[in-house]
Amino acid sequence: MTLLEIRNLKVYYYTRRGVVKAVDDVSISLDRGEMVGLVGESGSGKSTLGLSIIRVLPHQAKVVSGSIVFEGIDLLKLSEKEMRKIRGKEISMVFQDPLTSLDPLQKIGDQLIETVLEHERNLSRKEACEIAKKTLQDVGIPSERMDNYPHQLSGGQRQRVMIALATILKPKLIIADEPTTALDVIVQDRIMDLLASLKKELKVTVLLITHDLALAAEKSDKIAVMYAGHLYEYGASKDIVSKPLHPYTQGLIDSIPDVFVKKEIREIKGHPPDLVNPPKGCRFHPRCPLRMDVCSVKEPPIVNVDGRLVRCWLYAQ
Amino acid sequence: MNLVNVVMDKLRMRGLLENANALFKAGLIIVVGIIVLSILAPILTPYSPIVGTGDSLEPPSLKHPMGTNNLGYDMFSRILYGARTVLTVVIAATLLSMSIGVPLGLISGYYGGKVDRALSIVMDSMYAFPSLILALAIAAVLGASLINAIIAIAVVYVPTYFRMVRGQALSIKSLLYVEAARALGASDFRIISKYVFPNLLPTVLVVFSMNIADAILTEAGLSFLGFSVPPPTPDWGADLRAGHSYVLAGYWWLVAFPGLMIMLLATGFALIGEGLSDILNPRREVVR
Repeated sequence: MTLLEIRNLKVYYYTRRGVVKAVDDVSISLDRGEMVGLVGESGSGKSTLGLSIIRVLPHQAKVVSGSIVFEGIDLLKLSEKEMRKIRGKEISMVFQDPLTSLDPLQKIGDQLIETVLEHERNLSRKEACEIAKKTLQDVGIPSERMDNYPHQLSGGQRQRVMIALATILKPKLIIADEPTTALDVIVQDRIMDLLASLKKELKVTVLLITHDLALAAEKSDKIAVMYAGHLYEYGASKDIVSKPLHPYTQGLIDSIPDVFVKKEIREIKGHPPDLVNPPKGCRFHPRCPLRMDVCSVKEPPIVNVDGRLVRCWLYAQ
Repeated sequence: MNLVNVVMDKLRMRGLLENANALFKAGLIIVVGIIVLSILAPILTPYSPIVGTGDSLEPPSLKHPMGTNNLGYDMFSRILYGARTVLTVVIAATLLSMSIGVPLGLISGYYGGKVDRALSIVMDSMYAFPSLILALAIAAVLGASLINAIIAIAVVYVPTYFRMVRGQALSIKSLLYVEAARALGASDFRIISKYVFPNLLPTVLVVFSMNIADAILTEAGLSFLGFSVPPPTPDWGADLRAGHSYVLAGYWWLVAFPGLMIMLLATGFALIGEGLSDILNPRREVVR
């Protein structure tokens, strides 16, 4: 069952250098209770896509066209006040850097309680406090820690608090923007397990934004690959890893190092394009090992290959 | 109140008094000392500050520790009661200017846009005036009285708070935890009051006490020029003016004591400000 349906979304940044087409004509839909890994290089537009869902884009960015339908409501048509009721309660977000995403001057308990009270005004402070304690325990932080300030916690603990903040109101969708990038691998694994178990218990949908294809492949049900503002491939994680269709996805997989198998790491030659003047035709064509004449002339359409979406001339007729 | 708790927690966390540096302690001793003296004035001196209680121009003696002025008023009483006037005017004025400057700075820095531009232009043009000249102009228009002196000094220092708070709000609002709060559904009001304001409070405290030091000098300047409380109300700046024509004749005590007190009180607040900025500076923790 579809929870979130993004259709033909275009988000542009209006900068002095020109218009940066950060998200260009992206359509994607998320089903209830699944974890979708949104993978791409820096600057591919994956974070912008995440921010545009809860509408906290930086002021230079504008949604040019498209729709974001969440449970039948187009979020882009809501007023700021209506949107505020959705943020945190229906859709919430976990940010990349747990060290700076908590207010240094508020006790973590207070931050949790305030978030509850902001949305559930008829609750007493005491009730909110109980909910906060319970949520903290759910993410593996003892409730005595309520009175701690963020600087008294470790990075992993802070990210757990962020996840508690994001889940405290039992939202239906959590957007996790590089939730483990700032953490070491062992903590990363624990945080990912926590997200996976919360996903199962709360039946919440998770949009995991990451540049780490290996991580997404291991933890998420589906993978969406973004490149230069376009969605290039979208399908079940297993299929994408075992048989990538798009040459870019193939390139990403080839460039994952393996500790156990000595293999040659093949890089994708070249750099991601400048999004003020993206290449004509397919945006990946200057770096594509399989490019054809048509690639530099016309944008490839999105085609459905065995239930998988791919944007490449190799599969289009 | 939550806000007060935040400040108290922060201060307690760093063990304000235990870890306070020498600057802060020295400043605190001076300021508290003068406040206590001014409160205890009726006990410490038997004389009224506005009645002639001795011969005119008596030099300091046991009976009149700071001598008497040309009208035979006891200078020691005038210094003690004068502290009340100075402290009242200066603290009321800085509190008033803080309560105007801080909210305006928050609004300007947080929302930006046209309001910000308009407010910034007004504040910057006020800031361009030398403070005493501006205070003088306002006091001259309003007339000499205690309330008007407070208003004049308050207006002068609004831009100080505004500029500082606006700058801080600008940088704090772009921090990730403010964005995170917004992403979790916090309203603008809650972000400003719970996330932005407490984080700039330490800076406001420092500016506040530095500002008092400066305001003491402005107040002294105003009353020296006759634009503060009307005579015979005791006031250091006014006494300085009354005494200055007698200095050359050798009656040094008429200006020495008021001048000394102005300097001492201003230094005290400046030391507190310096000390606070050290204590509240997060980088200090690394050293400890």
